[in-house]
Amino acid sequence: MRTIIHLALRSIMNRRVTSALTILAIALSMSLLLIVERLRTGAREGFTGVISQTDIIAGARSSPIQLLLSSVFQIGSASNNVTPETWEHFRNHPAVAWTIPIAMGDSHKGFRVVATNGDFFAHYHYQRDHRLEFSSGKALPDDHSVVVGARVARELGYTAGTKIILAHGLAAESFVKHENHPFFVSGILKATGTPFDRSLFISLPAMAQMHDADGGGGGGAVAEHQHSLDEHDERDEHDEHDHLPGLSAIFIGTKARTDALALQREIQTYEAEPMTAALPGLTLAQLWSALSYAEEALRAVSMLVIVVGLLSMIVALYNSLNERRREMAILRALGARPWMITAILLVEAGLLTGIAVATSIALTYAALAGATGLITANFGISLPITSLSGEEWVRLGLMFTIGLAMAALPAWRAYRNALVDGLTIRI
Amino acid sequence: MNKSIEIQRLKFGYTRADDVIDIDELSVSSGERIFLHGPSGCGKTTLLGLLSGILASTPGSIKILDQDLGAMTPAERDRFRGDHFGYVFQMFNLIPYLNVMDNITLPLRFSRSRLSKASGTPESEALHLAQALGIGNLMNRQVPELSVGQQQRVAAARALIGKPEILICDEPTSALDHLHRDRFLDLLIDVAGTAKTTLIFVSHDRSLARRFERSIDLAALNRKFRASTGDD
Repeated sequence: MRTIIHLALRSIMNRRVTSALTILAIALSMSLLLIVERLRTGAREGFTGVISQTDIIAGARSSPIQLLLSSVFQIGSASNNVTPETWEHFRNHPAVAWTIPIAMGDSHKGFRVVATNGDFFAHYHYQRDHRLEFSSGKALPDDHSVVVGARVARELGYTAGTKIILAHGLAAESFVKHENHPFFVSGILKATGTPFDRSLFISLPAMAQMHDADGGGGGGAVAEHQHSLDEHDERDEHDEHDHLPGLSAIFIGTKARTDALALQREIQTYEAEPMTAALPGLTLAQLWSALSYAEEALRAVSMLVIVVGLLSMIVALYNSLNERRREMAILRALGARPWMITAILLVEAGLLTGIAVATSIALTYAALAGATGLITANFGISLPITSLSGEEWVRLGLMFTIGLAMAALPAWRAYRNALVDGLTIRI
Repeated sequence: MNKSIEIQRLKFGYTRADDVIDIDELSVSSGERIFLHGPSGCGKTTLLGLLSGILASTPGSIKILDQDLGAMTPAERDRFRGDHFGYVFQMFNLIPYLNVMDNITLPLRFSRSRLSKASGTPESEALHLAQALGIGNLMNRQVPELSVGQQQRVAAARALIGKPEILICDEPTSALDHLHRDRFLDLLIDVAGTAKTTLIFVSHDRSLARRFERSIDLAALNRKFRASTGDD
């Protein structure tokens, strides 16, 4: 066996350039497979992780998917609003740990405006345990402050202190602008890969005041409305509700996960107004299932990558091993047995594919290190640099095994050629 | 004297309809030095292939060292060839990515029988042969770095290592000038004689026949060739 490994190694070293190109071709295929698979799982996890640690999303009566789409993905709009009193009711429910009120209906240059309170920045989580973080500035210190998502800031070039005017409605170009209630950027969020990167956040009272100001014919000194959220929270509840808009949705975190189902039932049967309570995890899974063609498309790409990778592997191995036809004839003439000829070629193929596996892992991590930030920022797909999963090892092992199995064909052919060439071979 | 090679009514063709070899009888004694010659197309290389078991003969019989090659499987013939044959090719056929030492010891890696006949380790046996052939100082050199004459001596050392009973040389001197050819023959015959190796030396050059104990004209021996050229 030592002789066989020695011959295979020396042969590879002798054909350094060809061997390196063979290894590169195989490694690129394997690496592409790993990256496409990571993109596929990243897309799924990115989608299902768009909201986490929120046990219930409550809103006016509609379907859970519609509620999720409008409140989290900002697609479509809520069928109706929930009154601030209802929010107050469930906010004080013994099973509820926290709530995040969400009101929508305005926009800015095609980006949606989310009216909420400080709890959004404290309790909204995504990708399991990720919290919102500010790349600059801070949350909403007053009712003329606006926090902008990373993509909004990037595309519109906003920085802290930029003055902006919001528009009524969700259309990209609105003719009704809330010019009587300007906002100033108080903070810019770091990219999250969620739809909230494309949102602007204002306080609930700000939204109410903005519409009151326009409804009253405009005017009203800005200074009169520049009270902070904290000051606002110190008012009595009745006063607060007078200044709150209707809510599109309420994100709810329970004190104990086991309370979620009972609370969901209670919300759905709430008598004061008809409501829907969606369990985000379940609804996201249903939604992803409905959109499974996207995952299937990526899966199909993975399969194609495997097929192309294996084909390139067999072509590369076949070419490199075919070059050794002359050597096989010499070795046979010197007494090498059939199994030795086959073993030399298989060991060589094994070494090439083995090195290719290691190279593909290195290439994958290099690509992840270089591109994960860009991909997350631009496509919202999280590609964490984690160690290879068991499934990925199995895939690489499978590619290695198939590569070896495919090398058996040129190995057999080389042996046959050696037999046919016999002593007529010349160098 | 024991027979090293015995051929009886041997016929062989690459296709069923067209034989290229038809030899009624040929025998070679152990340790005999045979000069095999004949014009192109008379079947020299084919006969070497049959003797060494690379080609399978039917019908007819080839016995090498009293072993019937026709009764062996291809794998058994491979093993037999590795154990009992040494080869010097026309163009030497050294493995270019192995150094001189690795090239010379290669047959011992494939045959335990040859290995057992080596005196000392494969490396010491290779060095001993290389020194006898005047290339002892080149053991770590790569083959492409050597001159033609040096490569030829490496090929000879590789063929002789492990004291094979039969040494086949297929036109090994055709690329050499007279001076190098004569030196090579001297070395080959000397080393083969010392090891009592049966030598089959193939060449077009009839002038070399005087260096051998017996000369065989394959064109005359091969009835098929005689028939095709109208000599019958």
